Amino acid sequence: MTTLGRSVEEIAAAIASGEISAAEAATVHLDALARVDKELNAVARLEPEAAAAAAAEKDAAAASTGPLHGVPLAHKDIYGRAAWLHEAGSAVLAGNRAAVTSSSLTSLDEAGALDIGRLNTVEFALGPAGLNDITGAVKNPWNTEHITGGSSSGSGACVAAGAVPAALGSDTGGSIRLPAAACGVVGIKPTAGRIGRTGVFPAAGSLDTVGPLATTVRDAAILLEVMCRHDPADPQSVDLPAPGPLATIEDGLAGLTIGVAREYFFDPVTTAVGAALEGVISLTEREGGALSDVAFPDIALTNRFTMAIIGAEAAAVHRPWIETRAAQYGPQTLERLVAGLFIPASAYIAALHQRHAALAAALDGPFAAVDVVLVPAIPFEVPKITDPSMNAEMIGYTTRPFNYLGLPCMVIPIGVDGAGLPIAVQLVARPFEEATLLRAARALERALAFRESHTPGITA
Amino acid sequence: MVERDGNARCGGERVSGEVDWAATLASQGIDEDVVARGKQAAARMSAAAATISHEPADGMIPADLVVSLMARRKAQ
Repeated sequence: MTTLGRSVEEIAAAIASGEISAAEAATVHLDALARVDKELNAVARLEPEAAAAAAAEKDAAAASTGPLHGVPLAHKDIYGRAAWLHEAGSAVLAGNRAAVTSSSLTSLDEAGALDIGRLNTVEFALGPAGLNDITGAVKNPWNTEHITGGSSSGSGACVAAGAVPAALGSDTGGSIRLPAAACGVVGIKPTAGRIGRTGVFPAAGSLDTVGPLATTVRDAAILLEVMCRHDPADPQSVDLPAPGPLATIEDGLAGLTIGVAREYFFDPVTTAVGAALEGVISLTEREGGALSDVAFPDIALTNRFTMAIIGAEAAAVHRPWIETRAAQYGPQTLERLVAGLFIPASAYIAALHQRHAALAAALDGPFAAVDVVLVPAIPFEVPKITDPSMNAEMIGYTTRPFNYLGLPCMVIPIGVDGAGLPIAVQLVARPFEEATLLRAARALERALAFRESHTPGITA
Repeated sequence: MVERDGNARCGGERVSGEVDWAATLASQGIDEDVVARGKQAAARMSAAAATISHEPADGMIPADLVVSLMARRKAQ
């Protein structure tokens, strides 16, 4: 049998039943990554020796080592594993090796997963389109002329192509949700603090969140559950029980109220994306969910605040390198970092100070009346890589506000546009209510059956 | 923030002193327009905060300095 294009759940079941060994699965997925990389430029590097050694351990184990026993995964090239190359899609860190293994990878290891390589990222995870002047643009498997979204560009492309069933990404302004949306896969950004970030190269510490891009909503739930644990080395990490989403994930929309936030979020929506979203809104009601219109007060400000925070914090991380090694950065990244150097402290502090008030307003306002909010993921069709009119700032227009608010949110595919590129919806929930979020997403996924009816042009 | 990463301890090492970014970048062969465009972008990003800030957004104290100071304070 082949495990290509299969979900985490399906591959884990195949290994558990003896249909395929962990070693065979590792080989199949390493070969698949190498194959799709030729067309997608999505792989930073493969780790066949480490993967084979880990797989052999799994196959020799007397019993399952966890829910991800033997499942091959690969991750965005900002996740450190001790002694592995750790370059963050940059020339600045060329040849750099990680000193520690990131806490989220340790969680996956302990659940039995195999780590078989690193996937391309926007340089230092700073950009929403999936472009990278150093390593080149990752290409969208649905149509290689189009962007993947970013910054977890390789993760989106490789999961969509079926080369790995899931991959970790990171999300500071939309960098999990945007490539998931553009590549037609599932992506979840958990509540800020849910998953520890130790050993993940930072973009902007106040906003950085880590999480999976996955083949199915259930897969996203499985990985989330495994990774939700307290990380004492991460000051943002919370010590809460994992959300246990699988217990309620098949419960459907009945009993849930879904808020549609049209103001601001739907303003730039194009005809094709709007039609797909209206279809999902109708479907939500047919599936038993109650609908309500909601609005977030001053949400446009949060978009700007997020950009100011990212700019300032990224500039702080990179400042010594900008002083001495500026020419090693790609032009787009350098421009963004230099802009961050000129953000005044008063603006940065004001942006941070408004966060709690904005969250309180969201909880007292829209989330007082609804369980989940529905908004666009990317408000327009996925642009071409060479599109001169591409407005990168607008790609994250609907995602950045939820980094600022720290809310859990996820995207799932809902259809395709005229060029065959995916269209996605974004769902948002109250802090730490990932189980409700996943339940709503699973209900829509089941009703839409997108995966069963759509296949990208390039598959593993 | 930067201390999250085990081997990329970059930020927080120079938290005082003015830097002439135009000269610093020009010495590395970077076009001076990058600084001009950076200032314009920073002004756009800061505009929203300036509308609600009680302080004038005068740019006298760069935000990255504050970020680095906060990181250093946490590390101590």
